[in-house]
Amino acid sequence: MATFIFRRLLQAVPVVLGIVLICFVLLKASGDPTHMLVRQGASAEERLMVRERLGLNKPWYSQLGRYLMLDLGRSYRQERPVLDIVLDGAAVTARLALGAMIVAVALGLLSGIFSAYRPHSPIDYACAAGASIGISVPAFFLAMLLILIFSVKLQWLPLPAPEAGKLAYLVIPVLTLGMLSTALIARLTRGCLLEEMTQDYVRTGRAKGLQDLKALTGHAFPNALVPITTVIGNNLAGLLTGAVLTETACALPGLGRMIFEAISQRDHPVIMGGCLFFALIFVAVNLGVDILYALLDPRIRYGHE
Amino acid sequence: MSDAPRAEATVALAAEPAGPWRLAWRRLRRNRAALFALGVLTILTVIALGAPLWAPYDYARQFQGAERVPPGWSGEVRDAANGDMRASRHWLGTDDNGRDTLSRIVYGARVSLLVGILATLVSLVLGVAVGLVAGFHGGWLDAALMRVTDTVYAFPSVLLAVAITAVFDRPSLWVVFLALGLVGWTGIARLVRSQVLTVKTLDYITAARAMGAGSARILVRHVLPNCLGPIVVAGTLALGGNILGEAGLSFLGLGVQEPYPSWGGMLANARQNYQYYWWLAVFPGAAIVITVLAFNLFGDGLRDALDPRARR
Repeated sequence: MATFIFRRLLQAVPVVLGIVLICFVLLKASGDPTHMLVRQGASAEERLMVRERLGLNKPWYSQLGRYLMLDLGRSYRQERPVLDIVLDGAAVTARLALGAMIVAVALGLLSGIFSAYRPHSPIDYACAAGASIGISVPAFFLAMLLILIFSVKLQWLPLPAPEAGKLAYLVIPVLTLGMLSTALIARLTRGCLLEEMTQDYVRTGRAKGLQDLKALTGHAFPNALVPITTVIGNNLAGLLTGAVLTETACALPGLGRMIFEAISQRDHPVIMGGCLFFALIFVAVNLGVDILYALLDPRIRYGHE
Repeated sequence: MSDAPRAEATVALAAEPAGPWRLAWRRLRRNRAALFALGVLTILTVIALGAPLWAPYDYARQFQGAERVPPGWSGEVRDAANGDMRASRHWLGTDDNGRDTLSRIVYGARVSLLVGILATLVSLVLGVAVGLVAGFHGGWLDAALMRVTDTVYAFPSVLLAVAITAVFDRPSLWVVFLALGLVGWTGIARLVRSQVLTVKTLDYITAARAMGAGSARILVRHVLPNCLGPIVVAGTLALGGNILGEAGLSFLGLGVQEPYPSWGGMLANARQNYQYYWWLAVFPGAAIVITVLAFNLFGDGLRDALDPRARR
């Protein structure tokens, strides 16, 4: 197991380096940020001072090297260390993402199991239609729709707000963010379960008098969990993409919104910090999924040792 | 005497097995959801191509005194050009500037479809090229290309697209489809690579190689045609995804610029006031959902038709 984890960690290194490199190249390609930071008609000396203060006069490799040493620096715009800004945003996004994942796994698995229990029944068709719509609705439109229906018309839920002690404020953003993953997990669960149900071991079980539901949940389900786990892990990048749009539509100051604003303000340290932070989270979650994967399927574990 | 060969030919014709594409079309024709989606897509294409014919008004025309009127409103408005009072009717209402929502949605279809198609083409070319080379060559090249793919895949697509648009000074249609295309190829590359890995071990590839065919020829003439089914399916589904992506970028203000309408841009404009005037958000949003849903349903239908093994 230890070798397995170590190998996975080694494979993650180029991905993190690659993300940092892509960010860095794109930022350098987008031009000198100084002109957006000095006042109109600033003298050449002023510009030089700004460049010096921000470390932009150093050669590119020392600028890049700083990030690889995990020194995130300070924001150009806000007089705060980047780490603080990133952690503030991450606190909001983490709550959303965690909630979205819980909703997606619970609803997705449930709907998949229902569909596979009685394939081609009205419930199955309803779930399939729901999943199709779920992957076709833009997150920001869903957020607006939910706000219109549940906050404005019915007044059941408050408008989404950043300073929310109460869970009610997060219901709409969490549902919005979780919708795509819910739909994907539901589809995949149904497909995997139906495939497992055609396997010999399920037929044997049924021949011995096993009930449909038991065969499904007790026998097919554990085997279908392996691909489902992978998809849940793979969904993470999609979740952060969704977070940018959800946070914009619901006016929440999360990590996605923060990186987006930093990009439009050319606040390079915040962009780099945000991307680096995200890359690390991504790699960590994928590692977690891989370990879970190995625990669920002994073949993977032993195949590597 | 001359009848005998003809009769033989007729029998041979009747017994000729249908090709895989014809079989797929037969299966697709039985799929009502996919056919319905195809119908919707045809109508959308016609709407987009003939936008000036269908749109009641120009997309940029502002009706003074008819700002944010509800759907179905009709009444008199002052013409901005000469100050005359004119009767006007707005089936889907108007926006904050008094522009006709229906006309803007009709013109917006052009942006959505065009960006969707161009971005998908970019992704397809890149993804197929990377997948073919990685899968066929194998070894270090495969490892290197797949690491690049993993890295791009790990990025949240909207943020990467936003970063690419930031490199250019001004957002425009060209930047948007390029950004979406450069972000979206990873799935296609992985798919093509896995297809190539199975196909290249088959006997007919060995046979072609034994007959002296070079790598390039084998790739293009023998490997690629046998991966085409999944590529077509992935392309169709990517179309829906790219239309969603364009809407997302436009919603963030990085798409086609005002006054030209895009569905995502209309939703961005609606963000201020939609809580009081629901039609500002609901109609453009519905346009996005219908279009993307149609592409996804058609793509699902294609997959079922092209890969009978995946059918229940």
